[in-house]
Amino acid sequence: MKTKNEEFEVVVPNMDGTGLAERVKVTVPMQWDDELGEWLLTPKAHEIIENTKARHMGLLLPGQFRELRERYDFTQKEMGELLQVGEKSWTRWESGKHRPSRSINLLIRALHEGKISVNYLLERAGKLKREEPAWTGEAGWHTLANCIFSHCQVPPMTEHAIVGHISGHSLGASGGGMVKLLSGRSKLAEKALWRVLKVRHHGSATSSVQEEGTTSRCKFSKAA
Amino acid sequence: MAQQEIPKAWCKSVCASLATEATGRLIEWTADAVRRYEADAAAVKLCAGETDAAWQYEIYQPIRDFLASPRPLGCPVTMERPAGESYEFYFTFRGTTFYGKILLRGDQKRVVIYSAHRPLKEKLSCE
Repeated sequence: MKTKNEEFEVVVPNMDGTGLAERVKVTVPMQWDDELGEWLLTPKAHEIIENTKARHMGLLLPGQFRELRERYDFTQKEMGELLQVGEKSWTRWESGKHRPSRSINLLIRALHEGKISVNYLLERAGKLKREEPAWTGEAGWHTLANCIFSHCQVPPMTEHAIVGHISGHSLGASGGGMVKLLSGRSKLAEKALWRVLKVRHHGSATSSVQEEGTTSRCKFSKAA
Repeated sequence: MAQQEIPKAWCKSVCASLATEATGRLIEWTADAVRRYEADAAAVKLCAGETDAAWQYEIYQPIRDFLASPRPLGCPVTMERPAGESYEFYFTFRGTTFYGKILLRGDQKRVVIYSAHRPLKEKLSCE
């Protein structure tokens, strides 16, 4: 099958709806259709175009929706109920079939970045509160870091949970140094940290981790 | 000549394909179609004071609404390399008239969107 890459200009509106914020050039893959005698956009090309718009508008990407849901171990139905949007909406955002509006994205991003608690949303949705994990916020980041340095036991938590708690945090200059120090202390922590960095730098959490950790001294166990 | 009623079987198959929202798989686009759609749909949304981008999936429902109307009118289009059956028509996207040109492939399952933008001509080819 004949393929080629073509430059494509993505149109991004500004935040107040008065004009275009920018035109972003991306390269998209096309494939030749013998039957039609035409170049058509591949599924990947559509994904690149739509994700570019989303990223430049500050919308969460499909993988980040899934990561957020898995962080709290919610089903898609529960996430729909939590945000009072219904299961279908959440499922469509997570699959990338649809995108949230800028306004609902603000709320979801706040939850993703740890700026609002899941318990606040549970309360608003008339649901039972959960016990807040000890890892939330600034304190959580330091607890996790201290644990890794002191080789203590860390209660069961998933990789996604670690990523989530770290992601919700701004890694300043000292944070960057801490990441370097943490690297190699625990395979799971290392994997999580690399994923956070990849999200930061590439806006995607889908890359697999190539780096191998050294001896895993801090015990992390994957939650069932 | 005047616009003619688009065959029900064609409309039904195209609607079924659009309902899947399987962009790039069951619903294919030419690069030119996406470029024109993005520019025109973004302009329509901006004029309406909307702050959200124009997403490709947003065009599927308006086309389905038009094709599911009691007597959708349009023109058959003869392509250089017929790989199915094509029609062009006018439909409404957020209160604005848009021009659509769609090919239903021979398998009756996949469609190719050649056009979904503001009309460049006042009349369709068969008028």
